[in-house]
Parts: sequence; C-alpha cells; structure tokens
Amino acid sequence: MSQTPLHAEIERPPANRKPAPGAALATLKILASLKITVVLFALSIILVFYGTLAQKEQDIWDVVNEYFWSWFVFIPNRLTSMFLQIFFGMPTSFNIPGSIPFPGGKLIFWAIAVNLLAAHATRLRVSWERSGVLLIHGGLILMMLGEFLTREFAVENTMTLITGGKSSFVESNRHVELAFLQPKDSATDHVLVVPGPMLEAAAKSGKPIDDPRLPCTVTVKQYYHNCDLKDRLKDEPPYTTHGEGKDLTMLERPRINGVDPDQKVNMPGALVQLTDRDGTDLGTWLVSIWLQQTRTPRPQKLITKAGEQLVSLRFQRTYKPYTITLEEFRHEVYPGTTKPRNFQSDIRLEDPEIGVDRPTTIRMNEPMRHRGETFYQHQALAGDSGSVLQVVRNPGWLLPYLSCAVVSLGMLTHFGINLSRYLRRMA
Amino acid sequence: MSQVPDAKGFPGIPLAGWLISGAVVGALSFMIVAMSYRSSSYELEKFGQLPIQSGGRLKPFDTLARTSLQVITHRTEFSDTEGRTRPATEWLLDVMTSRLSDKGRAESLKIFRVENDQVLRLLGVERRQGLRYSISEFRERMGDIEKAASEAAKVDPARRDVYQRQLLELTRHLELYIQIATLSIPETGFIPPEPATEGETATDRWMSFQEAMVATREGRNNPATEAFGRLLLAYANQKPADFNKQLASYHDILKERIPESAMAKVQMEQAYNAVNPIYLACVLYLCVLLATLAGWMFGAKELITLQRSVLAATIMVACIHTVALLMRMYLQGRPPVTNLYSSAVFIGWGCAWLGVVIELLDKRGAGNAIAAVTGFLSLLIAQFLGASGDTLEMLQAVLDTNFWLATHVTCITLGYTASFVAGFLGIGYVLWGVCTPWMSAESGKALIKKTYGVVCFATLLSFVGTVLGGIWADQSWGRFWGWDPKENGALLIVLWNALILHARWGGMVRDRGVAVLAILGNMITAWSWFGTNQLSVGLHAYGFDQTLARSLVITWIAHLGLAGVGMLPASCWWSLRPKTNTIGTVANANLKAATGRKR
Repeated sequence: MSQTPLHAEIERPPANRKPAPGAALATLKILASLKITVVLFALSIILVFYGTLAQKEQDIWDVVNEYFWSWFVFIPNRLTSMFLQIFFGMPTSFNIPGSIPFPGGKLIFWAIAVNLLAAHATRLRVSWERSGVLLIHGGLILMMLGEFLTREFAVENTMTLITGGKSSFVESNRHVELAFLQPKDSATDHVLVVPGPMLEAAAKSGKPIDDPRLPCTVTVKQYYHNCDLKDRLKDEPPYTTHGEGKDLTMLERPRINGVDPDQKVNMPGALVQLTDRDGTDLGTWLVSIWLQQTRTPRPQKLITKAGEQLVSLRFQRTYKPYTITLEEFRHEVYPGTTKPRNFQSDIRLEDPEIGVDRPTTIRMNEPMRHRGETFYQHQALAGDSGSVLQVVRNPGWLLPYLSCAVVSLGMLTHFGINLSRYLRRMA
Repeated sequence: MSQVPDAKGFPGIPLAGWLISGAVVGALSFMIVAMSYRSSSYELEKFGQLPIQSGGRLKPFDTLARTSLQVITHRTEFSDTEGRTRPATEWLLDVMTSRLSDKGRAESLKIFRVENDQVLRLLGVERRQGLRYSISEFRERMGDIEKAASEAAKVDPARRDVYQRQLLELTRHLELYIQIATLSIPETGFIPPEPATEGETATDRWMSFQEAMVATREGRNNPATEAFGRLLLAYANQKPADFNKQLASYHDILKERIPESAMAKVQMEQAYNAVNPIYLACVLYLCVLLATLAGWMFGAKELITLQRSVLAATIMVACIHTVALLMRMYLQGRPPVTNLYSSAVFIGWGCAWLGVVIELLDKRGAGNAIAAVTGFLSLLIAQFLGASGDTLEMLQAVLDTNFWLATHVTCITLGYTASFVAGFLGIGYVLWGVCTPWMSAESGKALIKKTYGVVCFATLLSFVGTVLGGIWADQSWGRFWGWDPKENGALLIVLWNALILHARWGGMVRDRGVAVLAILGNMITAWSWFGTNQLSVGLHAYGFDQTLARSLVITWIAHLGLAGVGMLPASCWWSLRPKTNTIGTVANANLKAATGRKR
C-alpha cells in the first residue's frame, strides 16, 4: 500500500566500501524487516484458522502434531469446502480436491524468532523509550520456551479410582499396551507389555511379534484405534476361538475428533493370534480397552508353557511410589436439577518414602500438587462410582505465569509511554 | 483542539446540555417503560414476584412467564382474544389454570408462531398476518402433527430441512405448553419444602405442584400446597378479589420459609424484567445515533455544542446500561460475563464507555456515534441471544469460580470490545472519507490516531485475557494451551491486532490501511465470538444455530464490502479528491496525508 522503502534498504551501505560486514549487516537488516514480521503474522493467522477447522475431523493431538508442531503441513482443501458448507450453505457434495502446502507452526515460530532477534540486533536500540518493547519481546520468548518445555517434557496421565479403592499407578489414555501378567506372590506381579504402536505396525505388516522375553509370539490380525464391542448374535460364528471374544463381536468406529464435546477417548481393540514358544497354537483372542475399563476388569486367562498368564489390552501404565485412596467422591448438583455444581474427590495420599500420609481434597479448579506432579479432578466414573484424576507433570508450568506478567508489564509500559506522549500533545 | 469553545460544566458539557439531554432521556425512558405497563383487576405484578425454584435457582414467576412466552411466541407479551396486549404472567396463569375450569381461554389464545407454509398446511390453518395460531385452531390435527414430528426427528439434525426444523420447534413449544398446563415443568418446583422438623434432613429441593398434590394425598400436608391451589382456583373461577386475597396469604407463607434477602432478590428480578433496562438502553442508543447524525447536519460551531449535549445523553444511556449490568451481577452473584448473552451485554457496555472516552477526547461526534452504534447492535444481539431462555442460568461446575470469571473472561471480553470499537472507528473513517467531502486531513488523522490507540488497548486486553485463560486451564486441568477452537479464536485476535500494529510501525500501511485492517479485525472478532461455537457443535447439530451462522456470514460479507470500499484508490474518496477551487491545495494535502504518496 505504501511506497515508502524499508529503511533497511535506505541505510544499506554502498557495496564497494567494507564489503564483508556491510553485506552481513544488510542481510541482517533485511531479516529484521517488519514486512517479514507482518507476513509471518498473516501466515500464523491462516495456520491457526485451519488448525481450528481441522479439529472437526481429526483428533486434537494429530492436529497439534500436523499443524502446530511441524515444519510443513499440507492443508487439505476439504477444510475450506467444509467451512463453506457450514457457513455459506454449500451443498454437502461440494468439495474442492487437493491440498495446499503451508509452513507449519515450527517453521513460522523459528522465522519469527530470527526476525525478532535480527530486529533487536539492528534496529531496536536499548533505551528507556524502548523498554516496553524489550519486555514484550522478552516475555514472548519466555512463553515460547515454556510451550517448548511443556511439549517436550510434560506428561499427562490419568488415575482412575473407585470409591473406597486405592491406586499407585497412572495411565495414559492416548497410549495402549498389550500386557501379559503373571502373578508372582500376593504383593507383586510380573508384567510384560507390547506397546500399541508395535501392535499397529504388526497388524499392517502381518509379521508376528516374536520377542524371547514374551511368553508367546503375537500375530495381530486386526487392530482398531477405536472400536465397539457387541454381543454376538446366535447365528453368527464365534469371533475368536478363546476367551471373552467367543461371545462378542468387534466393530470399528471412527477415531474421536478434536472438538468432541463429550471428551471421549479412543477405545482401541485388537484380534490377536497367539502361538506358544514351542509352536503350539494358542488360538485367537479378542483384546480391547473395553474389557479393561469397566467396573470389573476382565483380563483373560491364557495357559502357556511358561505358566499361567493374564492377557489384556490396557492403557499404558506408569507405577508411582505413592498410593492414593479415594475415600469419598462427591458430585453435587444445583437443587432440583441435574446440572453439576461440583465434583470433588476426598482422598488419602500415602507416600511412605518421604513420610507423607494425609487426607486431602481435590476439586474443580483446586488441584493438588505432590512430587512435581499436579492432580486435577478430571471425570466421574459411571454412576458416580468413582473418580478419574488427571495427573500432570510439567516442568515448564511456571513460565506462562512469568511471561504473562512480563509481557503485560511491557505492553503497559509501551502503550503508556505512547499514550502520555499523545495526551501531552493534546494538552 | 483549539477550535473547541470554552465549555462550562463537567466534563466540558454545558449545564444546558445536561439539562436538555436529561429531560429528553428521562421523558423517553418514562414513555418506554410506561408503555409496557398493563393494568388488571388481578394483582399480576404481585403474582409475578412470587418465587419458584427453576434451573437450580430461585426466580420469580414473572421470569418463568416471560421466558416461556418468549420461546413460544417470540414476544414477552401476547394479544388476548379481544386483541388487547396483555402481560406474560396473565398468559402463564391462563395456561396453568386451563385444566381447572372449562371457562379457560388458554387454548384459544393465538400464541404459537408458525412461519413455514408446509407446517401451516399440516395444521390445517391459513397463513395470516402475525403468523400466530391457537391450539383450538389445530386441535384435531394433533395426531398428524405428532406422526410427522416423529418422522422428522429421525432425520439427522444436520440434514433437516426448514419444514422439519420448524415442525420440531413447534412440537417443542407444544411440549412446553403442556408442561405448564399440567404444572410439571422439568427442573422447576413451585412449592417450597417445609422447614425440617427434628429427625429429618432438610431438603433444598422444591416440589412441582403434581408432586405436592401427591404428598398431600399421602397425608403429608403442606400449607403452601393448599394455599397455592386456592390461588389457582380463584383465578380459574375468575374471582379477582379472592385471587388477590389468596395471593396475600400465600405470600405470607412463603415469607416464613424463604430468607428475606432471597425474597428481595426475586422481587428485584421481577422489577428488572418489568423495566427491562437492556431493551430501554437499546432503544435509547438508537435515539443517540439519530441525534448524532442530526448534529452532523449542522455547521462546525453548532456541531460542537450539539455533540456535547448528545454526549451528555450518551453518558446517561451508558449509565442505564451500567445499572442493568450491575443488577444482573447482583442477581446472579457473579462477575458480568457468564454466558453468550451476558457477553453481548458486556461488550456493548464496554464499547459505549469507550465511545464516551473517545468523544471526550475528540468532541466531533465520532465517539457518540461509536457508542450508539455498538451499544445498539450489541444489545440487539443480546435480545436475540436471550430469546432462547433464562439468561441468569446457573453455571457448570468448571465455570464455578468467580476469580477466573472476573479476570480471564472479563479481560478477553474487553479485548473483543476494544477490537470492535477499533473496527467501527475504521468503518467510520472509510464512510466519512469516501461518502462525504467533509473529512479534513487533520480530523481524519485524529480519527486514525484514536483507532490506533484502541488497537493497542485491544492487543493488551486480548493478550492478557488469552494468557489468563491459559493459566485457568492450567489450574483446572493441567494444560496451559490446548489449541482448542475457542483458545485459537482468542489467539487470532491477538495476532491480528499485533499485525495491525507492526504493519503501521513498518510503514506498510498508513491511515487508510489501518482503517481497512481494523475493519477486517471485526470479522476475526466475530469469528472468535460466535464462529468457533458454531464449529465445535456443527456436527452435533443440537447446538448449531442456523440464524447465528447466517448472521455471521452477513457480518463477514458486509465487512468485506466495507474493507473493499476502504481500498478504493484515493481518487474515489470524496474527501481526498483534488478540488479545483480555492481549497484545492488543502484537499491535495489531505490526499498526501492519507496515502503517503507524492503527486
């Protein structure tokens, strides 16, 4: 819109004098251009917009990985079509094929970082007048750092507790594992697990998973990211030769997408063929989270040469040095309605290693912190029979607070300086 | 601003301005409120003040009457069989007593609004003005309606056509009507629990009249049930004197059971409904806008005096708006923004006061116009959003935190507010410059400076609001940033405002560019406010609102159009067009100032 040249170009020294530092400085000044900043902002706006639309059909984690935590993304034109369908009443058959390559979140982020640092190196001198800008930019860098730390090191798990029951492990409901459990004595079990991605890969390749540590080889015949179990009809042939699957049928379900208001999770399931170490066929088995995430988990008994095993597909577990007992779970509603007013877990936290044994309460907006982890009230089990806690370890949790304060202070300073200058001129 | 004459009084408004505006605003308010008053031999207002428990809170019968009637007939009043306009409480009593006597007239009231011709054919009625029909007109077709509705209900909500949607809406309205007629509205209790005697645990749940009757029959006598029954009977038998007497005695029973403060709150809510300050402010903003436009018709000197007086009026209307907001906060015991409806009321409030500040600085009417336009539009949106039910509803457990509602939600909503004000200033600049010859270089610059300042303000508020939202999320489920649609919407506003500021600092845009970018900013703010909601529930169509989606599209197209006008070459701008007369050089200077081009 404007014909004014960038001052980077105005100030560029003649090429014949001091060529090396001059060229470097000129490059730096071009990198520091505000035009680049504006273009990067525009790109990030488009990216965020499509990253929002994409959540209508994809799981939020897939969207984050594909759009915001990637170098490049292919934005399908289907999203644009969908947007036009929703808002502009285009027919459902309307569909633009193909996709558009677009810079991903990582690329835009680094470009902004380079642009910002170059700007500070060349243009923005440290002065009282500029203090606000310095604070804003410094705070933003801090915030990005926090997001990076969270992304790389934060771990989100859940702990499911039935009223009166206790637990000393957390589960990740985004990862599953096929577990072979062999009870050792009354206090300990011996567990071997096959991670979910391995099962998925085996289902694709058709090759059996053969690891000497496992009690048997596993051939994955089917693997569904999200499934439903139905009772078998009388005239249907049994789905498996052994276990629970004899009376059930597994149906594939579409993956949960990012904007599902019910906050459901994918419930994977698999049909596996097990073969004993000596080659004896142990039959086909149905394993699914559905069999595990019920009030009475149903691990299936499997007899191998190595002994009796309990086999199950479960959410990936991490064992903790502390134990939490759910003493009471409260689900309060507004009088005369079913609208929830409060969810609250009254728990007892026992951590013998550091001598902790105390009752405490976790409720909405009031988490508990222990051993660098934070415990949030997450969900209620069906019929209020228990509670699900979200357990989060995030080493970067303090940075957003800090950076928010710094940036806000910076904006107040910067705009305050501008405003007072404006008012002085008015007076 | 040297040309502003020395004005006396606070803040730069002459005393006469205050007096005239006060008289006009007062007279208009009185007229608007008085027009909604309906006299009756039944003490309907007093009945309207009686508390009930509904949706988890105590509210007056008046609110139940108005929200139900609003849902069914899209108005909070109705026309009786003789064509007189009557209050909602009368309709509620008519329906509640319709089964107690055959003299009941509820079924012959034309209140069911039906727009679709196919639905009208199904009902066997002719299309008529007002589009409202009574049950007695289509009672014989009830079976057909039920059958057709159950067919329509089978269709995937996203794929239903207009006929199916309207048919299902009608059945929902009929359902509500029947619930009221049978005195069994879900989540609503009319009869307060008896004070707990020894050995009993106190309950805070009120009983529906049906339940209360059953309890009486089982021997658990509750004096309130009996008194309420007598009250309804008196109405059904059309005995006003008896009704008023029963009303007083029922009121006395309630007074013993309900704390005075709760009773006072319920009465205040009835008064709030009766005065309807939101509607009042909405109409008055429109009057302010007309006065501002009229002011622009006069010359420069008169303009300033007149706009000052209009400013006095703007301040008064904004005060009415403020009172409405404070009353809502008191009634709900919450910070101002708790749902979409209240966000509209709050955004309008913020815009109006920001407009007042701009007018105090600028004195040319731009601030008045902004306050009036944004105040009027946002309250219009609020009227639309409030039409679907109780606007003082209780909050879901996760929102039950006044701290975060007061900080994050207020901050982010103020961010929306400032972005909208910047957008409307941009619109004002474009229209002023393109469509009139009156924008001088200096005044245009001044307006853009204001826009720029408001964008700064918007950046600050939306940034802080967004981050506070992240911190709330971290507090309540341990994730600072989740890339959820609503969060992304807020982020878009921050990014857009940052883009405007950087584009300006980098000299990529001048005055016209800032105006156009600010206008486009309105599209993004509208997307965050309403669009993301549409998206998240689009698949689960129960929450997808066709009207809202359509209004959003119209808003976008209008803004694109305005931005397009703003991007017209300078030669198409009336105010920037080089003139051949004596002020030609001045006009040319305008052009240069606005475009940064050398000619």
